[in-house]
Amino acid sequence: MLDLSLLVFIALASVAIGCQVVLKHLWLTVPIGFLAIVVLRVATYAVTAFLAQLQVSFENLDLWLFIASVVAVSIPGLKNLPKQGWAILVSVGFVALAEFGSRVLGLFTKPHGDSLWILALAEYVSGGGSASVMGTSMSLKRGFSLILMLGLGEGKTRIDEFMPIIFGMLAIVTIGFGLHVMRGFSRRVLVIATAAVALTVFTAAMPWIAVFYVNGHTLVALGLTVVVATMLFGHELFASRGAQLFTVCLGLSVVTLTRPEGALLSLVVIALFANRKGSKPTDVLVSIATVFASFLTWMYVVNSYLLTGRVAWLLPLGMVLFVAGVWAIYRWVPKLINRLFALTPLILLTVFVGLQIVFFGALQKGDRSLFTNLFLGFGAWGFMLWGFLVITVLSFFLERQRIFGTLMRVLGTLVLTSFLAKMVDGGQFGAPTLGRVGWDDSLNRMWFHFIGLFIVTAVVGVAQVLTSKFVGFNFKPRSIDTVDLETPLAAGESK
Amino acid sequence: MIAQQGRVVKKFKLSKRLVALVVAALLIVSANLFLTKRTIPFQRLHGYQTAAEMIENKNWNWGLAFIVSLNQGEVTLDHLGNLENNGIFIPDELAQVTNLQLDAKVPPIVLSAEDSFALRQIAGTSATISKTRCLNRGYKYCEVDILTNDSVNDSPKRFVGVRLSANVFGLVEAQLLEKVIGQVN
Repeated sequence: MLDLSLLVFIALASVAIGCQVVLKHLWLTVPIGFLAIVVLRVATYAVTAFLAQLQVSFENLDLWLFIASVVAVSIPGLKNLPKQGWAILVSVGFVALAEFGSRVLGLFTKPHGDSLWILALAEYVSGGGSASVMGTSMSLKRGFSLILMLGLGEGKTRIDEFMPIIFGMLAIVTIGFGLHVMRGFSRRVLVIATAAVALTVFTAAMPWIAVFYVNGHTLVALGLTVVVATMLFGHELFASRGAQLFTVCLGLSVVTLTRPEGALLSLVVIALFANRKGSKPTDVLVSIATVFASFLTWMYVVNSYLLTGRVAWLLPLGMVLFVAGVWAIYRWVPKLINRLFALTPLILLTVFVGLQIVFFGALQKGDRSLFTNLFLGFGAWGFMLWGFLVITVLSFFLERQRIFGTLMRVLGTLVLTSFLAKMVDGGQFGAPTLGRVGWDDSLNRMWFHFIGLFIVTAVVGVAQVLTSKFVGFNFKPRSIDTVDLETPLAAGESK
Repeated sequence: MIAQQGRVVKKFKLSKRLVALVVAALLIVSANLFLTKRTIPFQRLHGYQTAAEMIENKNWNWGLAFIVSLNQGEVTLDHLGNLENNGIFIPDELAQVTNLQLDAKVPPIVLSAEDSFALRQIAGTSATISKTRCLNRGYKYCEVDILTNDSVNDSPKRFVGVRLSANVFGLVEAQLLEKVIGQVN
């Protein structure tokens, strides 16, 4: 019963917190509130772990601190709740659906080693176990924030319903983001493009596996989709720049706290959007600082094996110096930093190609596995990438939507980042690797991080093919106002 | 062309290229449905299960600590040896989660084929089979047989690591093992 009450409380609090940031866009209100709740859970757990070191502790202290902090943060938004009927309906509706699926139908995660590890740690956390258990290399690989969310119960019970709830949040963000991007197209084109993409994506197994699959991928996907949507259309969706920055920081923090490669993905996203029109150096510095602070919080709370000896103080010092360095370059040579940010995809591509050449032999098996998983249907992704490939190739011969180019640049760079993250992970004990054949290969699962962005990009791609002369279906769409990521800003421009 | 609310909208016209695109999409959908290996995207549980119960059903590669804990409670495991060359490996965090005490200073005791046979022949001896990572980091997993005998000791507190064959290990209840090989340090 506590589980259900807690879930309903979180659903209402998500709306109350979300509507303080964005009022009119339900597809962002509820997920932003939920992301804030995840961050609050980590923050209050960190406080509990700190208090435990001071011998201040009582049963379920972390749970009560979490509830108190959520109430405190929700209070300013309570006045808006009566006007948020739809958001409340959606939010509580997710809880009802998740409860029905999990408790009534008994649907649960596909059994997998990482899931079992996460579930075991979640039980340990809800039973009041020490945070330091999560500081070993194998536990760090399973992430942090999701374990804490699942471990919100009391007395060694888990709240498994969070998985379908997170999936639901990701679904509404993707739908809202897609509709926003597609507003320049006619309804008919929107329906055809969406139907085509939905059919090719949802006839594959992976999106269905992700509904209940216990791992951080869905939460990372939610964070990334919210961040990218905010970076691209924040100027239209949010009332203030502060609200935009707050949302971006929330998303980046959740991405960083959820998976070991999260910090890298977050930093790359910051670099990709650092040059967008309207972005200020302070936005970039605050975003980087948020990622570093989130990462350090995780590492210190779990007493990470990474922070042994001198590293314990050298790492935070290095991070402070890095932020200071970025600030200094912004101050004195802004052109240089803008160029560096604009070159991020090229830099990552160069590193990736370099590693492919240096470790040609070692990577052959991984490269083959990658192709087998993504293009031959062994990775539970079906054959959807063939379709995406066709759309991408056609886009070179058509009048491209600017947003398509932007999204492709973001997707491509994040994919490269995942390759490098996997190489580092697999290379810990020898040569780098790009995984093995099967849906449960970690790189293969990492592609789920980009499912929201992939779907939106694919829908735009299909729509631009449909509206081109190529298919003789010539409805010229209105151009969509979005940010330009490809041209670095001149010194001083909009900064 | 049809004029609609001040907008000019062209009629839907099927070109060969549009048909080709639709066919391509349908081919992908059909391939997704009929050419890929069928994967059940989730499992169905009857009621809430603890992680240990799920781990036992799944025969998880890392499940040894949970299986021992689920069946024997909070016990001590010694003579585990090290992963690199002579023993089996239970991650510290999983031992902590399951309240097991580990002692990996000494390698597993190597039992002769006769002793292994004699151990299993003692009336009332039962074996629970699990597995864990063993004998180097090359992603190799070994079978681990957890041997107990209620008539010898019905409240076990200590299990001793043994090597039953080249890549089969055992965790044998200490008093049961002593019945076969004598005093165990």
